[in-house]
Amino acid sequence: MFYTAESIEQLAEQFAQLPGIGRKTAHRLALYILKMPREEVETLAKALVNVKDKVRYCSICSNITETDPCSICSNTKRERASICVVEEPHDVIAIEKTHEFKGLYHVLGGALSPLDGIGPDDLKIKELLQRFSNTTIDEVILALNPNVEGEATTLYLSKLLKPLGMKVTRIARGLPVGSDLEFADEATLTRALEGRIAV
Amino acid sequence: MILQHIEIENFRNHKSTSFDCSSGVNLFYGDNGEGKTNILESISYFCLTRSFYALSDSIVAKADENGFTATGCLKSDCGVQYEVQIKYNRDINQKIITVNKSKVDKASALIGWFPAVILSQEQGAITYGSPGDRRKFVDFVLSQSSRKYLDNLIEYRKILKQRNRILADIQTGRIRNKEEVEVWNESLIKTGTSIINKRKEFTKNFQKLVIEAYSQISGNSELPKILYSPSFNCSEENEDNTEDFFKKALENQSLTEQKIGFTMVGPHRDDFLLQINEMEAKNFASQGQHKTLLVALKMAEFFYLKNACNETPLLLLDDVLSELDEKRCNKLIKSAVCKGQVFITSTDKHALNGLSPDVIANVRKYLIKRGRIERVEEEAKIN
Repeated sequence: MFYTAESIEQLAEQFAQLPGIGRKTAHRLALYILKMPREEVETLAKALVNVKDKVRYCSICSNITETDPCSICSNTKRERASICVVEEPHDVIAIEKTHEFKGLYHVLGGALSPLDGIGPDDLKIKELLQRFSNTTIDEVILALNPNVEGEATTLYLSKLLKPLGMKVTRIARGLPVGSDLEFADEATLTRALEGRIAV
Repeated sequence: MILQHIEIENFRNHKSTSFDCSSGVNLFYGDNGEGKTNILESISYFCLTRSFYALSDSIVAKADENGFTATGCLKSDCGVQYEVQIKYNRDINQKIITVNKSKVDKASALIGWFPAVILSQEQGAITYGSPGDRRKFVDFVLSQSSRKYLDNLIEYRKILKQRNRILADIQTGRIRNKEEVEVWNESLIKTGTSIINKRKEFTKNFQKLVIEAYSQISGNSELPKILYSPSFNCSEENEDNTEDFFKKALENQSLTEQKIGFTMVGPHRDDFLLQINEMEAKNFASQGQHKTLLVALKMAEFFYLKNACNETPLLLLDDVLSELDEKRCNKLIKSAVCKGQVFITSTDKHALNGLSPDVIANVRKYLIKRGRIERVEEEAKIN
């Protein structure tokens, strides 16, 4: 039974499918769109379709991009001898924000998780290996999430890559900068202790 | 550690119950089904964030209510006051844990903070039952005393689930690439090895405590033993080569595993052998020996946790006094009461009368009726 109009209900239904949006918020958004000027709604609709039409995966690093190869892969100033492997495109954004890494990326598109039906063939691993046949790579940095799935993927990749003769590293796990030691949870603190380095 | 005050709302059959506890022995008595064990359950929430009986929180909430609240005021051995609150909402199946009003992110963070030793009738399975019952006992002790062990255990279960999924898929012919199993071997071995090594170390230390407790209770020269029996052959003393043995065992079993569809070796298939005079307790011990061994294990657990957590554990005895005889109870309660606190349920008001005077001094008795405390009596301290 509709309390409003069918098209409002339909729009709300669509919003409700988005992550983090409940039924109430979906209705509020739908009613807000109704109040927006027509041009703005058109711009929004266009933007939505554009994302689908224009954005694709970079043929080299599998990151999302509008131009292929992506802006990072085609940037001549970047060091081509090191590759940072991450799970998702937003991980690239996170690392880019540091301005510390000057090399290239490779986006796997997830991590190994049989429970979700994700095996090695579902990740961009073949594409990663392909990259080594074309250019010389000195170092591969594995920057995957510190959970069970990310860990398994890290171990799997290091096993695949080490025989190829390059340096394979993984990012450190430990304490967040600027925090207090006393507020760190025990798991993080244990990892930090295990990964201690000489000063 | 002393539990000073308990407040429970909509908890099992307790609508609203609030009382101060004695720092010595607390006896909850009353007829069956009146709500005695429920109070022990609430204490287990403060210590373990869950009930030692119920499988899910939703069962614990009062039938016609949509959640429960349990609040406990505890004082640690060094005198620090804590207020632990567990708030459960059945509608959204959410449990919020706060310590001194600040939220605890993960339930596992609270485990080990306030250690507890629980003895209920089900625990008889430790000496009678399957390897799983003994693993549960050891995991229970180690999880409370080592945060790293608990984290490893949680992680190991996740890895195992993923790996078993692949094996099940291979068995049913749905998969694809058999090498996919090997991807998970390394994680399984790494996490599994640290669990196994901790269990090795634990059995060695625990053994001494069990022998001491057993001889105190039985007063004879019988020698109890707890032996670690991993799911694959590996040397008991040496920790360095566990990883290699684990790896080899996985390789040997790989074909069988693909046939039956789950992981055959690892900490989840371990056993702990309990012996009395070199004879396996499960098959050869008498009823009395079983009981003595069980109480000895619990006493050992008490002292192990006390040492490892730097905190005197609470002792919860759920309806076991009639099962164990007075001599065993005396020893168990005495060891706990000299520095800690004991919570007992029984249908018999006079359940403690047979115990020695120094044990039953400082007893507070609560009559529980239809989810309420009807009467509190204080037993005068006998000097």
